Amino acid sequence: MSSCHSGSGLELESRQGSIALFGHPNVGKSVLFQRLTGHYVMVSNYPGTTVELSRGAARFMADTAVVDTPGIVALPPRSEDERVALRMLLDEPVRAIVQVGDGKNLRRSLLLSVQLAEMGLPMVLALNMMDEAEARGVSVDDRLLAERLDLPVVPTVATRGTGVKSLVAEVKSAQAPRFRLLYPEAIEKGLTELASRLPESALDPRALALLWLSGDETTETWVAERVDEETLRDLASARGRAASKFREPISAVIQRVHLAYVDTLVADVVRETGDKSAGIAAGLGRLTTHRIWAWPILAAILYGTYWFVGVFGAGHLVGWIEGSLFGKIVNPWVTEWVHRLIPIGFLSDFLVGKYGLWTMGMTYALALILPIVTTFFLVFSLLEDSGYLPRLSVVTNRLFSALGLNGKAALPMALGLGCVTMATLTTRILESKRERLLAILMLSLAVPCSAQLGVVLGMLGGISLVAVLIWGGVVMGVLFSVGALAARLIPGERTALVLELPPLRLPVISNVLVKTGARLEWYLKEVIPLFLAGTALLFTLDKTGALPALIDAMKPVVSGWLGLPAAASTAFLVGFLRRDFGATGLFVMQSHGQLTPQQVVVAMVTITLFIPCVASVFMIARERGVRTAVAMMALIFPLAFLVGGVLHWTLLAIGWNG
Amino acid sequence: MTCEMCGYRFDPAQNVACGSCPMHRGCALVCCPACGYSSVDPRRSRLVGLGSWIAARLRLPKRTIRPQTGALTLADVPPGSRVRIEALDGLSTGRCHQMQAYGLAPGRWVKVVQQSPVTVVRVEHLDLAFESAIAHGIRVETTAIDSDKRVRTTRMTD
Repeated sequence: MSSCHSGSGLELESRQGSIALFGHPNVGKSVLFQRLTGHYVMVSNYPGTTVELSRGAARFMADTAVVDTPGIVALPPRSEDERVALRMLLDEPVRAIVQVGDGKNLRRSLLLSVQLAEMGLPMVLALNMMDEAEARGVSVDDRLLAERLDLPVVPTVATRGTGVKSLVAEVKSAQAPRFRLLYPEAIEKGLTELASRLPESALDPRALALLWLSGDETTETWVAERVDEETLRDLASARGRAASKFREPISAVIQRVHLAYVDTLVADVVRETGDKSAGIAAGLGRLTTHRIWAWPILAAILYGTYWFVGVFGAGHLVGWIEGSLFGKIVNPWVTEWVHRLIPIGFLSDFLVGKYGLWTMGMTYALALILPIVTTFFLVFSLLEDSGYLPRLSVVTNRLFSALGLNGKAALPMALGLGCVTMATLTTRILESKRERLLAILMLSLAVPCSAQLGVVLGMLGGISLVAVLIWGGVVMGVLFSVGALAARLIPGERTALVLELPPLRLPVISNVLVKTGARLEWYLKEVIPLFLAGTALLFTLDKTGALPALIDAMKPVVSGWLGLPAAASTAFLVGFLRRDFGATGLFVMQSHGQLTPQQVVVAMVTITLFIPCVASVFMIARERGVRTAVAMMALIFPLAFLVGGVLHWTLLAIGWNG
Repeated sequence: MTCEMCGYRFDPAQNVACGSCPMHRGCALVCCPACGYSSVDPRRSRLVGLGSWIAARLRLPKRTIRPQTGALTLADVPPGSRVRIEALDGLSTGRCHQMQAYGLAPGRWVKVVQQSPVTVVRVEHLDLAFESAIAHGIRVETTAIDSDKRVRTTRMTD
């Protein structure tokens, strides 16, 4: 392959448009995107994590954008994500398509290649993950493949950057392939007739006609926007004439032609020297979805996570950072300097007083929450890159079916243990609107984020195991009963699980660290402004004397119904902003001996069932509309207080207190 | 509707007695023309209508009964066997295209890796997991089971 050189610059500037990355889910499009642009996007081993088009400026070409599309299984598109990808081809000028194929699963990669090559746009095929293909004894004759499809084929290993230089060189000089397949006569006739009558697009007229004949919705919408009603009727009747010649849908006939061609192509270009995949990873992979062994493996992973996040992160790391670093060194130093520089009592109180921006807001965010979240995201990124998460979906499929969902919901739920706001966005990987709504409800109601989980476990672990079990039991009970009820009440069908299981891989540490860093950056941008806003609110309420009045007003609920000291109202008040902020306030109360074990359990259950934070409400409103967000708040807050109160009176009746 | 007291069948919309009642606006009760017993018309009462809507939702979903055609499906193949796909006629068109794009096309060989908790098959070098409801919709060739293991002769009764 030729290497990267600057000679082809002239030719590029004459053509405009972006470079579009296409390919199946989970074949390394996002890693390649990162290599081509230098931008970091969340790369994930869980199929379907790119939920929107990501754009970045090409490193190697001036004024050219690279667009990363959601994974597409085949054309015509079937899901919301896939439609986004096709619509982009129809709407935007594209100077080249880069299809990212999976070197070891050539049949399904080539099914898409054949369809894309017919589009008549300049195209390059990157055969990615060639290292895995070699390890499994698959070799591909890329020269013959390039000749047959009339387009450049470049073997790559995107995670290591192998082949990227050659790919760039080929993209720069890419031409439209002259590849065409021959279809049954009736279809060919229809194609010739339609090609001259459909509106002009960036695609080859024949390719557009093929999409039209297949009855693709995206193409129909696109065409309807451009022609008058009469032409539209003519076009539809042309399709009807072609369809009347076949007993099955035209799309099925077209797909059969594609499948048959791909079969002959694969027979010619692929040499298999025996499946060597029965290694340790494959064996372990099999065990992780085994109907018995999967459970001890899951338990071991959960225990490992608990130890690293709960014991090491929330215990040792927080103890060291909050107790020693902030408590003894940073905060006394900051306080001293603020008092010296700003001798006005009101202002210095605002910064370093009881409800000071630094001493409360920043200390909570950096010393208490940051260490816990960092350890969680590290574990999550490790699990994600190892390929374990799709297996978790298989194991938990039955559990989620009780909630009207399928195992795919395991990813947003697990990510929700890190940050619910982030997880709300990932619910887009679920197939139907109904499932997204159900998953968002579960996330908002009963999935505690790592920041809060750390505080909760720290407080309850100090009491007894029974306290942890009561809290866990009540929260899980609410999760499952509300989930099962909502699944029955929200109309619609549950969709069955279909999921690729990528092989277990040893995570590349640099990728894990970069990903954890990117998630933390996003998280801190979310958290710090809210913590500062919450602190400023408390400060204002305190200085204006409104805080005692509010505490008094909440007394019937907090003291009467929940049986907590009146001061706990402050925690619930800021809990409306972020529930972990509220939980941290209760943590401080407990450490001053102001709460009995029974009160701690009741307070923790109540605040766990709160809406996670203001940011997550905004995210729900963005994803599902303002009405849904308001309805969820109206359901969740009263429910949290109801469950908390019932628990208080039950514990009182049975006389449990630690 | 049928009167709960005397069993007389009548159409509540044509109940002439209501028109003479001063409180008939917004009233959800309807009187039997035969015996005069009043019962609630669910179409007139929002409360009862909502209640019966919720009750209908809360009832356990009916179990779908698969036709016993006698054809061998992917769900009947023991793990470890290689089989040839014959047809995907038990699936919806969209689902069928999706499975074909993943490589589960008629004439292709696949290896069944496991059947529980979900069906996992190996197509080329890819493991694909799907629920048994989908596996039941994929017919396989009976003579083409490439394994020493015998195919279960007893059929699942669900």
